[in-house]
Amino acid sequence: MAHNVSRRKFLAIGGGLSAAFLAACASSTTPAASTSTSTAAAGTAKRGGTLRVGSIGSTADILDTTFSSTDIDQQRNQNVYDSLKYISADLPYQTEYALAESIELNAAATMATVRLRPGVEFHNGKSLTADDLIFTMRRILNANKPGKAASSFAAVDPGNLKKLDALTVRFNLKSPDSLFAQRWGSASTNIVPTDFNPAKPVGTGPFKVQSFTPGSRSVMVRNPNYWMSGEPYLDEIDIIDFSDNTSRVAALLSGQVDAIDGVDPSDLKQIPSGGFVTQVTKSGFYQPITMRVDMAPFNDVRVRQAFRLMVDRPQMIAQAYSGYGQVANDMPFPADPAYPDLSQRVQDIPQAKSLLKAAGHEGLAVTFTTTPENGGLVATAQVFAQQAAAAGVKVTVSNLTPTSYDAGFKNWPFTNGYWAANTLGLGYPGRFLKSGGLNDSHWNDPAGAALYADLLKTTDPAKQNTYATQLFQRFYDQGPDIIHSFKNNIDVYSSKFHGFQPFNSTGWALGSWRYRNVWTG
Amino acid sequence: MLKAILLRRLVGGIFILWLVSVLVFAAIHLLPGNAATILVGRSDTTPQEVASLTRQLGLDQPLIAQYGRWIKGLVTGNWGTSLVSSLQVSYIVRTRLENSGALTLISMLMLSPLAVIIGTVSAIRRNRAVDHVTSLVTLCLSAVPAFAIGVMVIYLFATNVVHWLPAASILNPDEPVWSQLNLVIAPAITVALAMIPYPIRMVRATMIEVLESDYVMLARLKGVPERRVIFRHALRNGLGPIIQSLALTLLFLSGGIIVVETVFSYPGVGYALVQGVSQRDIPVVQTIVVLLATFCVVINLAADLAVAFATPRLRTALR
Repeated sequence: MAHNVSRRKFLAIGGGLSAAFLAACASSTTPAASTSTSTAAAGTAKRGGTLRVGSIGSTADILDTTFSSTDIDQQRNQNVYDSLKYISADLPYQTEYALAESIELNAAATMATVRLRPGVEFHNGKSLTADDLIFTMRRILNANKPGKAASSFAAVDPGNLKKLDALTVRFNLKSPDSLFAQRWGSASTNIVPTDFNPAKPVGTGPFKVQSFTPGSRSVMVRNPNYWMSGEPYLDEIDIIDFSDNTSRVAALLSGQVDAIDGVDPSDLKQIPSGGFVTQVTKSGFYQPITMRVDMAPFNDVRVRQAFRLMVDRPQMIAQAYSGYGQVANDMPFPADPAYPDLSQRVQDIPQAKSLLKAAGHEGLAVTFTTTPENGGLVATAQVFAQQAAAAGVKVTVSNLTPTSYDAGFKNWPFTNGYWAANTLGLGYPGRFLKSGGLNDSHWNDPAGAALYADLLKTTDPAKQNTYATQLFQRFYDQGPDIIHSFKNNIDVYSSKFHGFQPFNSTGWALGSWRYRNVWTG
Repeated sequence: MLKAILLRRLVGGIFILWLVSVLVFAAIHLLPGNAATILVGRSDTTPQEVASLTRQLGLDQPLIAQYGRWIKGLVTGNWGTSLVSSLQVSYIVRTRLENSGALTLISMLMLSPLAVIIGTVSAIRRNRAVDHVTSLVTLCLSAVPAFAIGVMVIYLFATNVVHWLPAASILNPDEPVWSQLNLVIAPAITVALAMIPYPIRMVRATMIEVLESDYVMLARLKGVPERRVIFRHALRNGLGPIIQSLALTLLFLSGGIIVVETVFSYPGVGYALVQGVSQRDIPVVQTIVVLLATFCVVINLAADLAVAFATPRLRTALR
């Protein structure tokens, strides 16, 4: 049973560090231009048809985009609404303008001016205006019921949003945030109208909601007034909920759905070679082994380094991920332009043993807490336990139900989880600032936090890179995670459909669920 | 006398339901973790948020008060709101019950006549080839868990061998289940196959016993044709135990559909229960468990009544 309420969702906010200069100077690529290249590559896009997608979902599904968190919610809401920007599919990680025509920051990164695209209509016929942006921002930052992107916009003062004209809003920031423009793009940053009614949700997106039953299915139909000319191509998308992977694969094989996302490698054997496309997305999506640094034995950096040296990374990928992964080097965020090329850490049992001895932890015994989620967590733990035995470390794997696991989140001394690909700038605060809501390792690095604050203060991409490079070095030398590999995402879809572009930037599934690009025929 | 027995059964049934309600309530509140924390999702959750949701859900009240409020609602038909989807529990359960009802009914319609026919034939041809094959097949079926039978049905009829049936029962929630029966067949076959060994064996055993009885021997000695002996004398007298075995199958079935519904993603109460447990959707889980328990109690009572009407001795006692 897959309780696939993504943990990756939490870091899913925003765009890319590399787009810093794109944001500063307000133009370059238009989304229409970039999408037409991607679809042209697969043939000539045709109008019409219905796409049926089978995804892991539950009765917790929602269409209120501000609160969307799970993969299936993001999938639906990315097709009903738009954000100020879109995240690009390719590397390096960057964002393109969507509902915003421009986002300008002052040099001190304390004031942002957003100009909206004119002539955009919501599904109910209302025109998009500055009021909608202000309404959305205040909705996200509502203290009583904060949206999923609230922490991402921590620098924004909801009381200090100024409407300059019908399409322009000035954001006065409480503290500098040079990444403000890249924080738009995920479903939780989508724009809703001032008369938004969650029971009858409308957005500006390529598809309109026709019917929706949480945990069961949603039907969305083509928005004929979509602001991006020519798109979408499909007449209808049906997103069908499954709670079980086996059933989902069977439904694909018997022709009840056309595409499934986030497929387990072990299910690929069942997919016949003809009639289906298996799409592998390589990204910085990672399942780190996380050590709690505020308590023994992992408060000793020698122990952390020893544990990193115990892993045979290629073997880990082969055994835990059936080969669908890339070797990593104990640093997250490979899509970041500042990601450094440091010497690859490999298994070194004698060195690991001597580090443990120096730390006074010979013959260490630890409990590895894990849970059967996200495909590969339990397998990773088991492979690690085997590999650690070679260094004389006894690892006991404790496999909890997802509910029990989640209930103890941030308490487990030695555990693994799963996190989104991201850029360092966007991903750092959640897991690596002391105050971060997702800081499961209890990482507390004042020097690193100071570097991060400096990064937010400068709009100069070169300086941002310098700070980011130093932060990466800190992860490599003393970080709390064993990042043995980056896990690939696998989607399978009927070869009758085209236009699913692998999202190597985010690692999200099925062309990041951007169905306005998909066509059939 | 029979009335007294039935009354006693009824009181016993109500007591069992009360016990079930206490157990379910206790079990769900003993699970680790605060439901409010889980519901908010643990990202960036502020303590204020958790506190306000805790108050909203009444989770800050003493357990006894929470239990009392729940029981009162259950009896008065106010089953509350799902914590996860903010839909009325009664709404969720109503559609799900209808779907599970259709699955149960169709499985029983497949299973009952088959069990009676196969069991009777095995009894008549005892220790012959047919009987041996039947006992081998039923032995195999009862040894294989229901989900494995489901996977086999999918493999054979939906995905790999022939493509006659849909592999997943993804019912359209906007239409009634009765208009989408093609999606019910595969799980119904699975339920029927998983449940059929027990009634076949019961029918066989009952029929053997009846066929060896004095009155059957007398009928045969009288020269009554064998067909008439079986239908008039044997089957009718064996009807009591057969009904009871089918009722018992129905009870097992209410548990078995949980597994089968999950394998086929069939949106019934079983599937809702599994999802509810994993999401800590307390009102949904509590309601479904109590409804399933009520179903068991009612079926037991109904079976007792049916047996009474099928057995002349008891029927006259009822007058």
